Amino acid sequence: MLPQLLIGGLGTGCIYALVGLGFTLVYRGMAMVNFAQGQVFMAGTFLGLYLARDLGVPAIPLLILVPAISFVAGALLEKLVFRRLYHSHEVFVVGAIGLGVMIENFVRALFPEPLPFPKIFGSGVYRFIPGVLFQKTYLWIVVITLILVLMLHIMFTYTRRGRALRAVAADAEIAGTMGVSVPRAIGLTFGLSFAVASIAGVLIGPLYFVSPDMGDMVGLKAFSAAVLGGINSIVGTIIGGILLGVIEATAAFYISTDYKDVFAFAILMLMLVVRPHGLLGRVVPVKV
Amino acid sequence: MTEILSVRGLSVTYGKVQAVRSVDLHITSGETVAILGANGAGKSSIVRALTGLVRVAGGDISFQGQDVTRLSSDRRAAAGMALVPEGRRVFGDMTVTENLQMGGYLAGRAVAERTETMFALFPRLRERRTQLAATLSGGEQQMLAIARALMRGPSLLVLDEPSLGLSPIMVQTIYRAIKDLRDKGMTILLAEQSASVALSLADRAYLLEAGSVVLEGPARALRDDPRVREVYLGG
Repeated sequence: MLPQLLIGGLGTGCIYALVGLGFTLVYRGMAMVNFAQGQVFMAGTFLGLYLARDLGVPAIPLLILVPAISFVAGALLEKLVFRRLYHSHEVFVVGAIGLGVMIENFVRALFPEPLPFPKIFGSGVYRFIPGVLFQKTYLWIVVITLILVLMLHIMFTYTRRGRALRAVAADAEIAGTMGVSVPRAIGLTFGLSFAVASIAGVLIGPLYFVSPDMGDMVGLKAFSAAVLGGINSIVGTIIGGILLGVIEATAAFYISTDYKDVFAFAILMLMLVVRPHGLLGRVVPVKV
Repeated sequence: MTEILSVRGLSVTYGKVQAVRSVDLHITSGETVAILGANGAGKSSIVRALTGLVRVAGGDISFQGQDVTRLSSDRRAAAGMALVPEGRRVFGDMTVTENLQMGGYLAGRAVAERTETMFALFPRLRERRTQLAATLSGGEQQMLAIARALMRGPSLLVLDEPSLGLSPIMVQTIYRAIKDLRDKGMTILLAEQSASVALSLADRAYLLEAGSVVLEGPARALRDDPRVREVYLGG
């Protein structure tokens, strides 16, 4: 039974990780928390639903189109909304929550009822281990998550643009004096955070009926995952997400599904007390 | 000699506090010019205004014939200005090489070649090239901050308090490097509290007090000025 639980937990954990990455990217860039991330994830699901169900877009083009549109939406919203909120963290948080509510209500106006998502990844199962079922959708979730993490790692480490984003995250003022356009870099960061969360939305769609409030709990759990792993660490957030997914699935089975959500937030609180910078969140030593 | 930087009537305010009051200064190509003054005299505010890090309250800044007064810092970098900021401000969680690559953000394909040039200028950085910048000593960080600024191949190098917080030996090393750059024809603007080291290197200097220029002229003349000798050079 345990391998089956681990597979389920791994799949859910990857979703937390991807949505959590959205938190991490913005936090690294702006040292602010975008609490609309869960609703961005949900909007990605519904965008995917519309494109797949109504326009018949297949899985792989969908996994390119949805993040591309979300990227543009993120960059635009940064320019139109978020940029006006940077002067205070409190204002930013309240503004982001407000934006999340608006996104949710906008989607609810278009799709008032919970809906089934097309089985874009197929509905079969794999049996890599005897007695353990691996749904195709879970395999897609894990593989796409791995590909995304690898792509982000390559971008941030080996590309000029990625290094510029890291430099802006570290010291925007000085990055500007190197010739980096800071407003453009921040727009790019928001675009990326939206794109990653929207991919998670498409990946999880086929597993459930989708509804406009589906992002609320996922957003909070993804935030917990980011804090657990270290909100300024991409690798930490991935590990935090997967750990949270696995712990949650195991606890739901061995204890009770009623208390499943309690674990995510208990871990968040424990982490904030014991190790506020998370498992891999680094405090860089400064030698002067 | 062509005038590379011309500043007229520069004023900088922070709320109600006026940090810089109607300052005029100019630099010609190949010159090394020092801005001297005590802590809080307005040196860093001038540097920040020149490099686009603070909005000016009044005045004009012309760089290589272009009015840059309202340009953002990245556009001024693209125009050829480079800054070595006060306190070094290297990117701590990037390696030495990555810091240099960031310095060469606008340098296109010349980055690899210039990185080698910087390693030749500061061999210590070559030894530390894979090390995170935050783990370097203060002097090494200053070397990195200078090398990072040079990566772009700037027309004007602006250094803000390069000796601040460094040991006397490291100050000597850093100033030797700045002197090498000067001797190679680099145009340098140096804001420095330590008047003796700055005047030993500069061609001309401006002395600031409470945000205003109170004395300006050739470095030799300032060195011989009784007031400078008494207040800034320890008699």
